[in-house]
Amino acid sequence: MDSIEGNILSVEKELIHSGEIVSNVELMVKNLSFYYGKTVALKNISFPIYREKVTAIIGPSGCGKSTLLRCFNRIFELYKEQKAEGEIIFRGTNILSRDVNLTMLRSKIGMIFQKPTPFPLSIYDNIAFGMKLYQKMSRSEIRERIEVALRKAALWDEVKDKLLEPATSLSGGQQQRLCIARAIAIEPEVLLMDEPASALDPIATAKIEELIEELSGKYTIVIVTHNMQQAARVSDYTAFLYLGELVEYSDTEKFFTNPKEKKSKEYLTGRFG
Amino acid sequence: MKIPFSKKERTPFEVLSFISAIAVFSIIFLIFFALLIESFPAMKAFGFKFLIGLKWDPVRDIYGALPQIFGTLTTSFLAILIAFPVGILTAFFLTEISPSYLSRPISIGVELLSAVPSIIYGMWGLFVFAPIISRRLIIPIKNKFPNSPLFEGPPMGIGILTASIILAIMILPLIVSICREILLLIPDKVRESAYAMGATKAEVSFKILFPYAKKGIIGSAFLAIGRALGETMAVTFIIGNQHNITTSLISPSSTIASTLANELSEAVTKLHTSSLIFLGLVLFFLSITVISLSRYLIYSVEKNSGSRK
Repeated sequence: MDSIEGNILSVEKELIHSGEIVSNVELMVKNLSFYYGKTVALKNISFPIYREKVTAIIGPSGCGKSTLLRCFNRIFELYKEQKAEGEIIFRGTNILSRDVNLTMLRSKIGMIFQKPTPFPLSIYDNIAFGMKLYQKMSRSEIRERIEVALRKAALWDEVKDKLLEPATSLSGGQQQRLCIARAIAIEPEVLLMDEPASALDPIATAKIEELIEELSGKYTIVIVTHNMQQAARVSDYTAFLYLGELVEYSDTEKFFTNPKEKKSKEYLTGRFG
Repeated sequence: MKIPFSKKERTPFEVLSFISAIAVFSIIFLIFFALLIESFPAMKAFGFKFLIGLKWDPVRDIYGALPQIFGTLTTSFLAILIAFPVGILTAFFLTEISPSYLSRPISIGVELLSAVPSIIYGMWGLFVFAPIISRRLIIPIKNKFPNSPLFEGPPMGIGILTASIILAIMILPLIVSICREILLLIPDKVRESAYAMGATKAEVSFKILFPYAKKGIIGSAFLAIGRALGETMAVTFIIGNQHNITTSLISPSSTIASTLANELSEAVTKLHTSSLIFLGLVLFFLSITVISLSRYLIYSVEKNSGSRK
């Protein structure tokens, strides 16, 4: 326990040293615990997620990394036996508190899933669906924002001539970028990505990673991945989870070149996981 | 000694199961041929005119089946019109909204509806429901719209409308259970990704899940229509059994099944019996067509969701 808090303190100290201010924190996780029924999945986790940076959550399967991600938009609440305790501070409010408007929360914090999940609608309507939830827009406005979103997701050139075709006709990689476009179209501030490339082939994966890099300047991205190379390539900060506990949180470069914890070293060298 | 598992050797178990399966399968053809042969005299006497003839008159031995076909289709159509929205909303409630401690008892309750024998629905419909419909629904509507052709005639409470409502109650469990199963087949990730965009339960249900499950839901409706087409006892009790075609929802009518139930045991002439069997053949065709269509739709949904996993 001491070591975790020590980690966070040291990160904060380093930040202060390097002149950055604490308000760069977009999401502050404080003493977060998570339960599947009576099973504890996350134990007292605390760490910051910085604005417009990419934070990777890594760890062996079953360590709770997806569970952690699913706390940020409270999607776990679809399942009655799942429960989170602790705090996640987003813009000064604890988003785990009961009076948070989930619709508004999810409009600010979008999510991309492991497998592409196109809705059974046209490409156009897949993106329009989310936008129409929040505001009334004219047809030309919708059309315009769909184009912007598709361009940002690097998909426009591939689909501009077939916007009315079913989204399921796209390839897996294209579907995943469509899901990213769909999330971007709502104009969120945070994008949660749950192993967004694990169901894709290497070329599609490279495209998604490229896209994450491009988006990182405009959005705060939290990405869960079991692929350490991917975490090293795309992220600025890395949180390493093991058996529901946060073992180490630090600068990605530092984590991969000079991890502080013994467990991290073992994980990085492939001793387990 | 014969070698076990050799290809030429069939165990009694294999043989018996094969015979059982073939027997079940061939019954449908036997029924079909029996109906075809028995209805031959009526086919010869009336030909195609049987299907469009307006008069069903056992006294003069003239038979036209259009009133019964009309009554069958109208009651089934009205029944599905009532049962479908209720059924799909119930299924949405059970899968998307209801807490688990509620969804189990409600599912069981809905399934118990289908365990009630048809004749009980008939008796209840005749003695309890029809008078209530007459007093609480038909008379107030007649007072409000005295000249509406849909509510022409005496408000007996026995007729197309009451029969349709009873039919709707009877087919409701089928719609609910099939829709529920189809909604449960939808991968959780689809739901999650829609909720993750901030959609409400209604938006997820109608804009995402409904299109996703559309084929199967429509299939369930067809299956329910198939059931409604052939439903006999309850309808016979409350439809009034008059062979006429009217625009009025409250006037008595008859369906193919109710006509068969009423007249088959009392048919005197050969032509009457044969015409009734011909009527049965028509019902057989209607039901088989509708149910095959529904099976096809439901099957294609199950196949799709299987390959997606």
